[in-house]
Amino acid sequence: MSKKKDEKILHILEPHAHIPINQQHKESVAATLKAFVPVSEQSTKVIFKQLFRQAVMEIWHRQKIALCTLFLLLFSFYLILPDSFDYTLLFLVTTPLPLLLIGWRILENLGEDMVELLLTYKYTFQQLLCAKIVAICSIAFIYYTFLGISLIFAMNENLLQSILQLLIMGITPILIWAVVLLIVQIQYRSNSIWGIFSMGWILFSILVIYTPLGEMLLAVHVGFYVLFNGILFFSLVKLLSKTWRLERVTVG
Amino acid sequence: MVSTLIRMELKKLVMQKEIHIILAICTLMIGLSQKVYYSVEEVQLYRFSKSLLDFVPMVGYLFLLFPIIVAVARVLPFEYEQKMMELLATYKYGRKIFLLVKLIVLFCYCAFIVFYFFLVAGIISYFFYGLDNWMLDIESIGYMYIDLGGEWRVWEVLAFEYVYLLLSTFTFVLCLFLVAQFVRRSIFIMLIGGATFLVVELFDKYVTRFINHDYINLIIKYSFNRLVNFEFLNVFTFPQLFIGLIIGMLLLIIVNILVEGITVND
Repeated sequence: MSKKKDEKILHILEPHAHIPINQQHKESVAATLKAFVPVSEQSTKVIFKQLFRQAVMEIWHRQKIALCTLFLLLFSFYLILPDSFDYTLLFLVTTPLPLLLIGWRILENLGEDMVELLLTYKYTFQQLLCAKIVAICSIAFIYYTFLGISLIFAMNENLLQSILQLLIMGITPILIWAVVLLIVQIQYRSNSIWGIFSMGWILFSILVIYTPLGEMLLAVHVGFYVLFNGILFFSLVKLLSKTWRLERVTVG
Repeated sequence: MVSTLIRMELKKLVMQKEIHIILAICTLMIGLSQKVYYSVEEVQLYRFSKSLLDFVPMVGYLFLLFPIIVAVARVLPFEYEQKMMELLATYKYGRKIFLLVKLIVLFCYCAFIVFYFFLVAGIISYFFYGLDNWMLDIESIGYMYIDLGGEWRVWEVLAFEYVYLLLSTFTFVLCLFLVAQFVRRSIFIMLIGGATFLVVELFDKYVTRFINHDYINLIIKYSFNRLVNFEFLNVFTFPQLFIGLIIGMLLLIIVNILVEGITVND
């Protein structure tokens, strides 16, 4: 009895056994679902590497003449100047020169006129800026290394301690410039501000070379500079990571 | 009419962030340089008067011109950078009044900057030494950087320095203003202004040690650096200098107003 009943039911269900799948419907459902599922993004590390490489290539492509001239000038300074000249102050003043020379060009194509176009970029303005600043700082550190080596050869006295102090002091201006660059470019996005900061540095270097201010700076204990560099480095990293995560700049 | 224009132009200048930043940097530099001299100077009488009177000729001149360069670089290309040149062609009072108003504003700015430098230097000196007598004869102060000759009181020398600096900085402004009429971007004006100052300074301090050429010495001798740090007083007498500066300023004002710079955007 039950067997007959089962057969009857199967007979009724048979035409509905294989429900044909509507491919179009399936695709539209998949697309709708995909739109709401979080998209997997590239990791920060990968993006940063890519942007950093791009920034270095761009700087090299556009500024190679300026950078090479600076390199030659600095080394001719160290070679030509007489032995009586005070190299220590020159070293302090010249370490952030790459930042000073090409820093203002960073924003040349990212000014306020470009805000709307920047919205269509794949990466945000802040991410591009962070990568560029790190690239410029790396270039400045390459210069710093070469200058440091030539300084060691140029200084006749074997005063390891004073050279060590100088090398630590040389990092301070680079870090200060990087922090200033980051804050200023985010806040103002204008080239003329950069001219003013360069002038400020020139004023400071004139004061350091002409007046006893340089000797006063050299007389400060090295521990202070180590601490100061540490604070600057920490704040730079913190600022960079904060800037990296900022939202896109919206118009109006 | 003109007073309203001047007020508006002044407002435009004061609103610029660049001016605030350079003033902050200059204040810091004045503080640093004054501090340096206090630590070096030996103990003597009337140090307030001496440090105030010697400040600009010794170190102040090194950064007196920078806020002025920035102001010139921001005042003239402002309209160009805001893409207002076509709108400016419809300006009711004409181009001459427009330039004249800008020059008047820059003159007021020069007066303020020179005063500001003396003020900051004076405040810092006051904190270190306290006040001196303004009616003091400068003979009793001892050696001073500027040699004026004759009997001068402290306030008279201060007034003299103020007028001298005002005239010399405004002459510099007029020259840079003339250049700025042909240069479109403020950063380049800053570069030109800064370079004219720096190159002479570098030549004066370093290059003349190795190359001693007559023409270079001549350029250095009659440069703006020497004008601002009172070295011109060793070459000319004060009446000669005063009359020369006034005539030069008037000529430069006329040239500035008559010259046809950039008028409309390309």
